[in-house]
Amino acid sequence: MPLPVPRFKSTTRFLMSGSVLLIGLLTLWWFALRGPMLYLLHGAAGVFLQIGESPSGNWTVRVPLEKLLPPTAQRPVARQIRFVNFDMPKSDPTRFIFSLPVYWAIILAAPGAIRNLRSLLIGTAVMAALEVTLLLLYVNLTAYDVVSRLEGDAGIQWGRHLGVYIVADVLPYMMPFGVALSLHRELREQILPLENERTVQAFSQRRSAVRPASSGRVR
Amino acid sequence: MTGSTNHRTLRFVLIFAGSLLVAFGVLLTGPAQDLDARLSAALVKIAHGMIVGCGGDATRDAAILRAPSGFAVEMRDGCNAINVMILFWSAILAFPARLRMKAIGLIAGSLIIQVLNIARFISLFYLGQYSLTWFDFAHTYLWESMLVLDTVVVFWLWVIRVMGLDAAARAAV
Repeated sequence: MPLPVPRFKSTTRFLMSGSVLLIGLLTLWWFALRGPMLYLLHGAAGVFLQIGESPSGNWTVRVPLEKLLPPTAQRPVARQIRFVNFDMPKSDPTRFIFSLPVYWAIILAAPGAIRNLRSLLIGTAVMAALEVTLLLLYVNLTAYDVVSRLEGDAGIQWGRHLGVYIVADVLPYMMPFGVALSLHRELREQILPLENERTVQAFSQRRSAVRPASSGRVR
Repeated sequence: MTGSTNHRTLRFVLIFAGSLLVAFGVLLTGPAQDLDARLSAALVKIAHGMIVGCGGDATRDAAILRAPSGFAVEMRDGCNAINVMILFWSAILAFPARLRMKAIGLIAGSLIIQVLNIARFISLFYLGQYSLTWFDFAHTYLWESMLVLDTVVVFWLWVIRVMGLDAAARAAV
């Protein structure tokens, strides 16, 4: 029996509604939700860190970090570090709150209204927790990066730079899609059909070197 | 979810995450950054050619595109869609499919992503001349998210194609 092949229609529908929702929800976020969400992020991260805010909205973060820097040729006296303070322009924490409207757009564009509501609520909580976690990771990695620069260890610097890059420039964009695929089964089964037994059967049988027939082209 | 399903999903996640880490790690090395800068310059050259070809006015200096008004935009690491291409490549690599299909997916998908990215770059070039606030919004949040959404859809289309060929192969037996 031939396998049921998903239609291209569902991809088009997802792309179109997802794009429209992204534009709408991100615009709403930019004008109305950005301020309140930054305030909430400040409050949540403030439980773990000391964060000050300038009138312009920039953040000053103090990260507790105990480190003894040994004496070097340039710095003949050992130096004890207890805290790392650094300023974050407002755009830095903002980077960690835009994922939520992106997540909403993906879920609302996904098939299945009732399942969407459940995924929307659970996912919103998960996304909020992940956003705070990413911000905490970012400030800690940045603090460690500052110290590793003082230590002059190129290998560690590369690792920390990679960490900061992934946390600040990759995960905020990837996370909404990852969470949506984890929570929305129908969407996951369509985009990543690894759980579909019949599909998997087909994948496992491809190793038997069966070549597709020229007449077997799927529309 | 059965044990074998768990295994397949775990395998996908592990290969995907591992490929991402390796690729981004390589991207941050000196030689890869040089290649990255060349890719940006090449893409800006194409974007400049398209603007001038359509009657627009712009000058180019390596990866910088400049408007007569003085506004200039530089395509840097990330703006050349290398990040989303790495996401796409990692997903293709992690998904079970024939090697030939993976190769076709990598090439065709990367081309589609770059076509979208050039459209994004040109739109940002004109938007920046109109409003820097809107430029920031579109550049950092809207277009980046749209590009990831488009990449997911391109991957989805590839998966449909792979499944379709497998289904056809089974039907032909």
